[in-house]
Amino acid sequence: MIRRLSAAAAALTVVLIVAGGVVTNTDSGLACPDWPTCFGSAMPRMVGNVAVEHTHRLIATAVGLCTVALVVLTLRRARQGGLAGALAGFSALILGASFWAGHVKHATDQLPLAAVVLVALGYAGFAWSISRTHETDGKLAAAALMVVLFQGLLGGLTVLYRLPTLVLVMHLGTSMLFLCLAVVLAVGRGRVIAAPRGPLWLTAAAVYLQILLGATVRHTGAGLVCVDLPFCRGALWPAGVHPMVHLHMAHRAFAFVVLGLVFWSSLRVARSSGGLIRALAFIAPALVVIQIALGILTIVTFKELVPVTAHLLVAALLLADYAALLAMTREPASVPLALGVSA
Amino acid sequence: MTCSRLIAVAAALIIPAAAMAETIEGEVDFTGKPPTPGKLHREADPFCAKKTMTDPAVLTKNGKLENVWVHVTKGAKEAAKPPSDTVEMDQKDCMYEPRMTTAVVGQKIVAKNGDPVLHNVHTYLGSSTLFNKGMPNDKAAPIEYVAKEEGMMKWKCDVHPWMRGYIGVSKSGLQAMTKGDGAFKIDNVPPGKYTVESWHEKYGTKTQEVTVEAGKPAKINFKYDGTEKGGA
Repeated sequence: MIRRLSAAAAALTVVLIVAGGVVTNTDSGLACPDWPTCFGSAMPRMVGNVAVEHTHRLIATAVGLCTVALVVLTLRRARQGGLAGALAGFSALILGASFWAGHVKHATDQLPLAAVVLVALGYAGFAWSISRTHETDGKLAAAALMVVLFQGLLGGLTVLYRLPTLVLVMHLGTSMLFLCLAVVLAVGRGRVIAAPRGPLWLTAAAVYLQILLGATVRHTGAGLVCVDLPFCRGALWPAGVHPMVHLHMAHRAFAFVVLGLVFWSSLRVARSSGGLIRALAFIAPALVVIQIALGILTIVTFKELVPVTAHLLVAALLLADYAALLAMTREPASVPLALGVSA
Repeated sequence: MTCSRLIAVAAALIIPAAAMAETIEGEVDFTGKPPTPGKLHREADPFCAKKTMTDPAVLTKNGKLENVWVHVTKGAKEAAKPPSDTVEMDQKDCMYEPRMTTAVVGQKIVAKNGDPVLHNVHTYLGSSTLFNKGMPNDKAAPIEYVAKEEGMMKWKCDVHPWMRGYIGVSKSGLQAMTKGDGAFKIDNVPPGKYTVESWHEKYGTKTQEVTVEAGKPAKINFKYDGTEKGGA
């Protein structure tokens, strides 16, 4: 049940990330001027940009509810029902304080300090609860709930502070972290096989960094500062230009670093494993090649909705692939004999 | 029937109808503290960077708000015949010119590029893209588009993200755009009850009901105080 629910949460998170991309790429981020309500309602008239933004919020709510259910299930299995109650209390504190702060900020343009303190207390409570959790699944589920609450908070801040770049980048970065947690919970750590994990960690970190870089390009409006390919304004690294141009080119250049790392790590893992792990390892290079093609399409179509959103989707799938590979593998030396089924 | 009689009958029919068409007029007030326009960061493109510009999203003068689209949303009985002249949206100095204007459903809209650099013209109605085409430089052929639906047509250049333009498209043609004095005047309004909406790119919409009577202009004012959120 926990695995299935985690898989559903992971799939829903991918949908949520795509919906978030549609929000950005259709300029719908401020279609609802308030948060958490939209025009003061939990269910506004679903038309145009409002429908896009509010659908994103509704999917986020569904992801949040899945995560709550995961926390309850994992902690009940670990006979830590009391801790689930404590987490419910801390979640209510964070949500209550956030919603109150959102209402006050929308009405008066001032963020109440008391709400900030209450939210901080709620997160401290979460950290304490996670440290008390016995099972890994319980820890992961509680961490996922903490991340998804933070994600909602960042979503609120994007609306209330009218799309600040740093918050937008963090919003995407946090959603990717949540996706990784959901994937690890879905895969489970029951049957792991020996495989070199160093290359996997390195590549996963590079993919994550590239996602953050891409989000910064997107949210600073640097997506089309270079419209020629493969060079930018006739050079690989044009001199005397605005930093945004270098940001854009850094994203392009780092794509090739990621490409190299993905080929290297997937070959290393594929050689030492079989079955599903080998399949996941072989999917990664295909995804990264598709991703580069989508990046090029994003530029040549002037950021048309389909390629630019697909670019985000494939990034999420690539990271999820590495999260699954990491969850399904152990360093060869650390694998217990009973579990090691190295190919 | 003699020719003069025919003219007399036609005049008797036409003149009252023309006389019945009234106006809805008024002003859009801005009662809050006018925001200081921020500098647009156009440094990423060397051509655009040559000129320093501020954000024209909110333009106020003497407590009046410019660039507010005021239009009839309910009560209009007939669709307007599309005017034969075209609405032009130019791109000059990496800005849309004009920032805001109006068109009627069925009217031709023409996009031009007056700059020697690439702009892509990405237009939206709500969350849907209407067209997204590149114009490499000032020699690029104009893009022609016929307005199909009413609503606010948003113009964006993804190459230069600060570039924004707006064309309010109306089916009835009962619309106006406020100028620097905040005044608007909607002509040729038959007597009746109407819902009139004002739309500002930053402060969103406000609505009012108005009754237009034969023989006198209907007056309404809209008020924004700068705390409103919405718009584009």
